[in-house]
Amino acid sequence: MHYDTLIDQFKSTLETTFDAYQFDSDASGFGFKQQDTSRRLEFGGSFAEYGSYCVFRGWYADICFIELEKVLAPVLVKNHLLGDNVLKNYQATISIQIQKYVGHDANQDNLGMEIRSAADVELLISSFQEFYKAHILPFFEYWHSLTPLMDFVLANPEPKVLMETIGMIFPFRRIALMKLTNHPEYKTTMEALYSEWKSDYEEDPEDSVSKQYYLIIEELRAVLNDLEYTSLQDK
Amino acid sequence: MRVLDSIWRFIISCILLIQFGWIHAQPSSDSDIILGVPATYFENPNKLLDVESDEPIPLQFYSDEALKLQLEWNASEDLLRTNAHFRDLSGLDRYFGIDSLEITPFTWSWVYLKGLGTDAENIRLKLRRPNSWIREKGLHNIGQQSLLHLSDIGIDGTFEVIDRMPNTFDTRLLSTHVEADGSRFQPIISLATIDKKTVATYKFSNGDQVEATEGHVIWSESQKKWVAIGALELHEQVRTAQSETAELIEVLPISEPQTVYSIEVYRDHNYYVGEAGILVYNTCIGVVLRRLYPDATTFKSVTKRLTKSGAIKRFLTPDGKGHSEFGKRFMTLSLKQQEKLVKDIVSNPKLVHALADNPKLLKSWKKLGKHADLRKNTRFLDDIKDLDDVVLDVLNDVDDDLLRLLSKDLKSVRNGKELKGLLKTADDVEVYGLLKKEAELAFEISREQYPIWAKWSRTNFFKTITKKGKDFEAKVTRLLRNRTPFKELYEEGFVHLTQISIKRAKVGVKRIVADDLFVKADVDSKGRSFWRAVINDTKLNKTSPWTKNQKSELLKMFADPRVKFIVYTVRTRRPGINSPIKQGDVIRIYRKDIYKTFGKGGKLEKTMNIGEILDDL
Repeated sequence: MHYDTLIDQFKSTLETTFDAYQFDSDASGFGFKQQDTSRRLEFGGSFAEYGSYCVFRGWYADICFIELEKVLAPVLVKNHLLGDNVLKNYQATISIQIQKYVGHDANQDNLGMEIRSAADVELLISSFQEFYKAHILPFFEYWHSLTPLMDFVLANPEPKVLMETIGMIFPFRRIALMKLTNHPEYKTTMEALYSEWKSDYEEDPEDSVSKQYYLIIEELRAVLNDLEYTSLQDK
Repeated sequence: MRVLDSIWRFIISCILLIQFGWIHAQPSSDSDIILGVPATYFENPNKLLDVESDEPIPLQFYSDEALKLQLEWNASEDLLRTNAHFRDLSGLDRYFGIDSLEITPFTWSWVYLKGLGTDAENIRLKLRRPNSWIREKGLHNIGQQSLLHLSDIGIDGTFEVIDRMPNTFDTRLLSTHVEADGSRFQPIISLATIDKKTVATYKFSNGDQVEATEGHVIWSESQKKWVAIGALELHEQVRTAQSETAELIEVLPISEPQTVYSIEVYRDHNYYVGEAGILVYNTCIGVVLRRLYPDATTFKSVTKRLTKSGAIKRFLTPDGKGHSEFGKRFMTLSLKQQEKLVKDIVSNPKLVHALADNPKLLKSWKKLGKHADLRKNTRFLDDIKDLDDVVLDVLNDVDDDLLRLLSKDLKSVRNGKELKGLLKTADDVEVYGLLKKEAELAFEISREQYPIWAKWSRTNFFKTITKKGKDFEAKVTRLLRNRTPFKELYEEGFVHLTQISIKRAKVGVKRIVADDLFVKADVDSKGRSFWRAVINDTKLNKTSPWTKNQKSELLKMFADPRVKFIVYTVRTRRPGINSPIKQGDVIRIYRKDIYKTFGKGGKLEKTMNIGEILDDL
């Protein structure tokens, strides 16, 4: 099945159901997007087009906490720890993904489910609607603000869990989160991080990663402190 | 000929003598008798209603006085400005039905009717029709009722005669002059007054306003065809007098139902409305469509009626050999196909002309019906320009697989538009078919026979070759799980992603696409986390070249032995299921983590590491 036909079928079938969202698609799939001042919500499907067919790779849902990402993105992009594309479209803070094969599932592996016909697309659409009800809605409801995210981070300090949940830049997300939720230990934690990475850099100034981390924490510290100052002034 | 003239004159003399008991004769010689039509007819035109002639009295039998009075009558008639170049919705170059008859006082008259029943009770009609038509419909006397299907003015229902009036207009004395832009003047032959219709005001940039139902047909200069006025987009161009255009600037719905007038114009079936003039057709597109939907209980009843009257009547009745043939074929179609065909005819009346003259094309039309995408993209049916167009004919010889390919190629963002531009004649469809079957002929064909195909055919050639490679990539991706070193990556917890676009974190560099990217979270000696990525590129065979970007952005970077790893950012928006990385994340690709897997004869042959790859470059 032609990729454009596939996307058109999703669009025409689902656009009315999700009319509160904006439809968007590119070569890697489609998504429905909605944004307010605090969160950007997005959910959709991931696809890949091969020479003669398309494969379904899974459903996803993302939440971007705009206030958090807005603080982090300029600093991390400037120091090459995030790509510059996140300046135009802030990276999702937390995501869920699911791959649920429908219909014929023989010969399925990491590549994804082959989409052969319009009937396959219909099955996928129905699966997508189920995914929305069963996973996306509860997901969007649960992570309604930075507060549940902060609670999660405090309850799960293991780097592996944090990395899987809020990504590779979790040390920076965590510290910014502490700041934005007025966590009482923010200042102590920030100073500890700053000292540690400054020390790493001073020990080995030639190490590019040490330098990178030090520059980031130094700049982020200033940004977050400034945020505190502004915030106090506003009060 | 002289004998025939004499017979004619004798008949006329008899008619006039019988009817009026009076003949104005100017005898000169036996062979040169001139009978004059008396001026008294014109003094009391009601007498015309008693004549009931079906054959016009030749003007040469009119007395000078009678001619003068007829000219005066003609001058008192309100004519509408029309456009002869846009003469008929069907685009035909000859007159059909009552349009083929001259309007004369002795052969035509007016019949006034009122609508009956829920369908027509809000309609009043004034029809100028040939006497034969009036007799045929049983509308000769006041009080008579008849079921009328007047497609040109969108009327369908039972009507009762409330009055009869003489016709005083004679089209034989109407100026035949046509302006350069097609303008001329024609009389009205139907006027329907319809109460309680939902209308809107359509405002145009030339200052004209048209109050119309949304189904009224107007000429879209932008689309170069007749369309329903309600379907016009804002700023769409319409045609005005003197071949000028105006654009639709505003549509204002009128909340209260209004009384509307539907007019049928003799022969041209279009007219200019408004002060400056906006060219509109004298019917509603809904005439046919409305029958197909809410009003019709079954489509069968619709087509049955359509065969009796309406837009396609003229093509389904024996008006010529071809039409009759087409009519028969039309009736062999399934109801669903008939419905589709009528819709096509409504949107492109020229189609019926082409189909009527070449019934074989119906087969092509049916074939195209199976390729909805192709129809949507090519609008072949709308593009039929004349009867010699054989694109549809050629499609008969093209197999369905090729049509599917054509449909796909026309949708191509990269060169679909170019292809559409190339498909102008039947030959082009054949060339396309040849190039799809033998992509390798691209260079030869485009150079020697069809130079305009050069660019597209070469792109198609490379695309075909790339497609083979893409299919191989997918095949390989499925097999990597059980192949060293990728098997081990799975065991170590790497996540296998495919078709991931990555780019170095630097301005001005190019992106590359990783056929296979294995990703895992890792930590460095100081406990800092990073995404480690292993990349595999799949090639159709050992000699398949690296892309320019792969060379500059990946391989040549490692030509410097001091480089341990390169940092890339993820550009793919949705990297795929179970992907730990997101768009914008940074990944590291170490020197040892680059592989190339190639095949031989469509089978997987070998996986090379970076050392072998660099040696091979």
